Amino acid sequence: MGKVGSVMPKQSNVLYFAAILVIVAVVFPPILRNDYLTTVLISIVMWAGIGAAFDLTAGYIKVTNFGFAGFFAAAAYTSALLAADYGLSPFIGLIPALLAATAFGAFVGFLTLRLHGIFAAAFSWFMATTLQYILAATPDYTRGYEGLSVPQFFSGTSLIPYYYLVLIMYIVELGILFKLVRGKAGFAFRIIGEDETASRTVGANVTWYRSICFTVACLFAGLFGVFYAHYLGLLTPDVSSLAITIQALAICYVGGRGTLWGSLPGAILVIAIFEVFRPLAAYRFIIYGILLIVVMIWAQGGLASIFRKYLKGPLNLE
Amino acid sequence: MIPLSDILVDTLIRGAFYVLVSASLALLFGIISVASFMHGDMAMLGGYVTFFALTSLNVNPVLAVVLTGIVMFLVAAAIERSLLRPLRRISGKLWMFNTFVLTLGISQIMQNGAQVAFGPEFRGVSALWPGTVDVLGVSFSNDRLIMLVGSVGIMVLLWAFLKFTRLGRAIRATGINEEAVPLFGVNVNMIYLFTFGLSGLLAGVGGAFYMALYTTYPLMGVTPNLKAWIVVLIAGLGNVKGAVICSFILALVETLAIYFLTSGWQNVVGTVVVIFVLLFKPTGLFGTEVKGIWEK
Repeated sequence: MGKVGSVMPKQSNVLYFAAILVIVAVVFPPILRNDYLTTVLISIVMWAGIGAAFDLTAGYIKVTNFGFAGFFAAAAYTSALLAADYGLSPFIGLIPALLAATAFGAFVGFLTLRLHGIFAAAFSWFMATTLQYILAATPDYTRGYEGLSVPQFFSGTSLIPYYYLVLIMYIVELGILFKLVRGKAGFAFRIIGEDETASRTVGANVTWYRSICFTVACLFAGLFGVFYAHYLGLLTPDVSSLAITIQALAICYVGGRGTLWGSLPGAILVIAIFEVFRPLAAYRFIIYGILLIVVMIWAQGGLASIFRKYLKGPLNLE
Repeated sequence: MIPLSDILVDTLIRGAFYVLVSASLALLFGIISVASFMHGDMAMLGGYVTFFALTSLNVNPVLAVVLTGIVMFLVAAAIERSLLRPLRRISGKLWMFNTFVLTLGISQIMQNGAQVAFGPEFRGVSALWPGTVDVLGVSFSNDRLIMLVGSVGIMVLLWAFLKFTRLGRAIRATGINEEAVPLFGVNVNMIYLFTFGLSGLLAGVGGAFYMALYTTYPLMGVTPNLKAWIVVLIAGLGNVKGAVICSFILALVETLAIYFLTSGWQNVVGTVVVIFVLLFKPTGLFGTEVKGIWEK
C-alpha cells in the first residue's frame, strides 16, 4: 500500500475525465450515424467489460483464469437456449443465465479451494474445455458446430440500442467492481494477491475472499456472455475455447492489470488491431502475441501506466 | 468385436507421442516452474522442421529426426535466453502465471507465424520406412514401430542423463531447491537454458514422429498442449516417471473411448478424468511434496 495521501482521492481531474468520457460515449453514435463505427464501438465497450471481469482475478488475487471462456459460454448458452427453445425474452433470460455463470463460478471456486493458484487456473481451463466438448457433442440440443442461431435483443436493424445496452452494462459493471475493490474486500483481494500465506497468518479469510473474487468475475463474464449471444445471434462451442480467454487476457494485460478501467484503452488498442487486420487473421494473432510479450517483459503496467502519470486519486489503485 | 491387438497398438502409439510432449512439459513445469503453453507448438514446429528436412534437403529420415532435435533444442534455448530470462528478473512470486501469459503469447506467434509462413495445408509424408513387421503376431507398420522404439529410447536416455550425469544431477537439484544450488557452484542460468532446450528437443522429436505418422499443420499443437497438461496434472507436479505411466493410461482411456463412445464424447473423457483426479487427489496420482522431477 502506498502513502495515505495516495489513498485519499484528489477527485477533481479524474471525475472531469470520466464525465467527459461518458458524455462523449453517450452522444457519439447517434451523431455519427455510421453502422461500421457503431459495431466497432460496441466491440470496444463489450471487450472492455470482459477485460475488466478478467482483471478482477488476474489483477487483484493474481489468479490468471485459463478457463474464463467457460463462464462466458455457460451464460451465453443458457440464455440463448432459453430464448431459442422456449421463446424467453433475452432480458428475462439474462437472470437465469447470470445465475448459471455465477453458480458455475462458485462451483469451480469451491472445488478449487484446496488447490493452489496454477492448479485452480488449470482446473478451470479443463472445466471450460469439457464444456466446449460437451456443447460440441450434443448437437441435438445445442446444434454443435453448425451454430445455434439466437434471437436478438432488439427486433430492428439499428445498432444504436445495442450500443446503449452494452454501455449501461459496462458502467454498471465498473460501478459495482469499483465499489467492491475500494472497500474492505478489495483490500483483502490485494493482500491475498501479494502473499496468500502471509494474509492467512494475519487473519484474512483467504478462502472466502478468493471465492468471492472468482465468483464475481464469473458473474460479469456471464453478463457479457449474454450480450455476446444475443448481439451476434450465433453461437458455436468455440465461445468456450481458449481463443476467447486469450482475447480477454490480452485486453486486460495490455490495458494494465489491477486497474479495472485499464481494459478500456486495452480494448481500444486490441479492437483497432482487430479491425485493421480483419482480412488477415493470422497477422492479428501474431500482433496479440507480440503485445503480450512486450507487456509481460518491458511494460508490466500496460497502457494504464501511461495514464497513471496524469491521474491522481481514486482510479490510481496500486 | 474389436481385436484386442488394435486397442493395444493404438494405445502404444498414442501413448508414445504423449510421453514425449508430456515429458517436455514436465521438465519445464517440474524443474523451472514454467507453466508452458507452447510445448504443443514446439511439437508442431518440430514436425515442420522434419518435413522440410525430408522434402527440401532430402536427408535420410534418421538424420532428419536428429536434425529436428538439434534445431528445436536451439530454438527453445533461444526463446529462454531472449524472453524468459528477462521475465525471470522481474517476476518474483508471480513467475508461474507470468510464464503462462508469456508462453501463450509465444504460442500465438508460432501458430499464426506457421500459418503465414507455411500456409494452412496439412503437411505429411507417405511413409519414412515403407512396409510392416510382425511383433508377437501383431502387425505394425515400420514407422509406428520405429516411433515407439524411438520414444522409449529417448525416454531411457533422458532418464539416464538426469540420473547419472553431472549436468543431469544439477538439473534435478535445481528443481528441488533453486536458491541453494548456486552455493554448490551450479550456474542456474545455464540450467534454465539447458532445461528449456531439452524440453524443446523432446517436443520437437515428438512432433517429428507425429508428422511421420499423420500430418503437421499450424494448429497441430493445440491438442498435444492440452493432453500434456492433463498428463502432467494427473501424474503430479514434475514427476516424469508418473508422467510416462499416465501418458499410457490416458492413451488407453482415449483409445477405449474412441472404440466404444460415440464421436465427440471421446474428447470429454480426458478432461473429466483430470477434473476428478484434481478433486480427490490434488497432488496427482503419483504426486509428492518434492518439486524434483525425478523424485527418489
